[in-house]
Amino acid sequence: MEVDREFKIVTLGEGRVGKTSLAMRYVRGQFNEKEQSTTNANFLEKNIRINETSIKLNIWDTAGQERFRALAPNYYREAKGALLVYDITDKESFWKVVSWVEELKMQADKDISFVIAGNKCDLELDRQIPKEQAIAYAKQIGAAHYSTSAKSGMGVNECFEEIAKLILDKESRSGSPIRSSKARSRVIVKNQEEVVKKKKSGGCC
Amino acid sequence: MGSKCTIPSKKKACSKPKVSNKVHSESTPQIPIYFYTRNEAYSKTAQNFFPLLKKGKENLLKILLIELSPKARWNLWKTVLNCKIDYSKYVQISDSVKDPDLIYVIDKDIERTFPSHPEFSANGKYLISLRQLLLNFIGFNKIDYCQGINFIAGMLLIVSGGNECESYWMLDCIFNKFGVKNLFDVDFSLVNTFADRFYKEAENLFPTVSQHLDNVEFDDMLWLKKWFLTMFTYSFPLSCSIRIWDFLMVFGLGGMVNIALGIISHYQNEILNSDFEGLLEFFSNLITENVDIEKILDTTLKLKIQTLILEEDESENESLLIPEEFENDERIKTAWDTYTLDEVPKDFVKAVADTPTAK
Repeated sequence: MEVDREFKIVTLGEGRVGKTSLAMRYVRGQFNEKEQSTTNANFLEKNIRINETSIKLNIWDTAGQERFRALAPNYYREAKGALLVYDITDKESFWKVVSWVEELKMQADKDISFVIAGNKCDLELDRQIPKEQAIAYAKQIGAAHYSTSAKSGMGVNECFEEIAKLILDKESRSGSPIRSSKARSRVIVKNQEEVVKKKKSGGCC
Repeated sequence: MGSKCTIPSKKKACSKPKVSNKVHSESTPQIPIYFYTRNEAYSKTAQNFFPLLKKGKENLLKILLIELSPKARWNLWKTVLNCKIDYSKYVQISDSVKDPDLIYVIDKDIERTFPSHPEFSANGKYLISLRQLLLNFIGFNKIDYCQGINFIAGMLLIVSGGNECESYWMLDCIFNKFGVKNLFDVDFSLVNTFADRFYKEAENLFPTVSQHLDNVEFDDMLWLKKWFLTMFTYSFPLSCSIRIWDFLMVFGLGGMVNIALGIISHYQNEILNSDFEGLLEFFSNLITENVDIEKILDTTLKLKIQTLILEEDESENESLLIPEEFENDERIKTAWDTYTLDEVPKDFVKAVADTPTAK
């Protein structure tokens, strides 16, 4: 299939909020109750059509655990869209979204489009984050908010497509097609200490 | 077997490659291939256990590389790592962790560790043990918990048959003595070191494959680094990762690089015929595939390890691929460091005696 545009988008959010499940539901139409925790990152892609434009979405699904946070810039760098996910039954996870927004504003591409997804809406009874509060926050930062459930499928297509639309909109306003690819060069995080050690012990062969 | 310096562990070892022909000499017979292949008669290997054991450490690895009963495997792993089980200390440690943040983080992962394994599914027998094991280990040792540790702890529970206390001390051994701690340090420095080695070796061994992986820009976070971080447990069927661990018990943690090279060698054609999407699918599906791990181990041994053993300096035989960073760290000891060649360790005799008859 001829693809007119290729957009890189990234999922971000606290661990276990359902980033992988949302991406899997969107791309494969499946929900796996027994999803493994994500280490490092996953990658999925989906071809969609918005109006007359065929688009390939390259979705980088990141690990949510704090320890992997340092890897995230490798993924949101050059991303044109970000899906920020929280779990409506986990208050902490909403504050994580707030902190991601702050980080993206500072570090990511200035044109990056956000969508916030309040996931696990099938567990409405255990809700800890009032919907109004989340929507108000989204509005304040100029992002769309979706109530989603990877389990039931509610809001899933909508939130990903919204990201694509936002990117397209920005593109048409700026007049130049936004280039984006899935490619990410290998980035090796090394700390000073290790470099010093390496020097000291010298190379081999 | 060339004297080419391959994945050298120490500067010393490779500046004066010591190519001994010991393994090929008359006095030490060639180890028959069935000692590390799956389908050969088990009884045959069992008969040969003791004489082989007496012949020293070259044979030790072959013992581990046969298909073992679960109990014998666990005993051998414990012996190889010289793991001391301290029941009373574990009782003291148990339940001492009350840090709510730690509990919050660990609870997120308990049901997401080997989720398709029956003992780890809802109401599975190992779920509570895994939680306790992680809380005790992470809490008591004040480790910054990182995803991946859950899979390693889970693996130990599986192989020990759910023995939480013994799994704790083994986790302690592989973390602090075997080098796993450095896989999970802040920068994942050992994962990166291993990956660097892998690329360097792959470039020499399989230039076309290496070039192809480079061309498609296939992010190593999606495969190689996941393999290393979780000691292969995340991306391969359980039966395969257990066999990989057998291999690592023999060759040290650095053997992960060799295994990764063996895997790449084994799947060269599949890799070369896949673009980014194809590779992604191929590597993500390995966990549900019928991976011929015995063939991969065989390939791995032929690729590297035998050469390395031959080149190895006698005084530095504890591990083959330990990076330079470890030099000032606690030496990583495996069981054969503590035994002379003629001495048969008692634990081994016990482990062998516990080995039931063939499946």
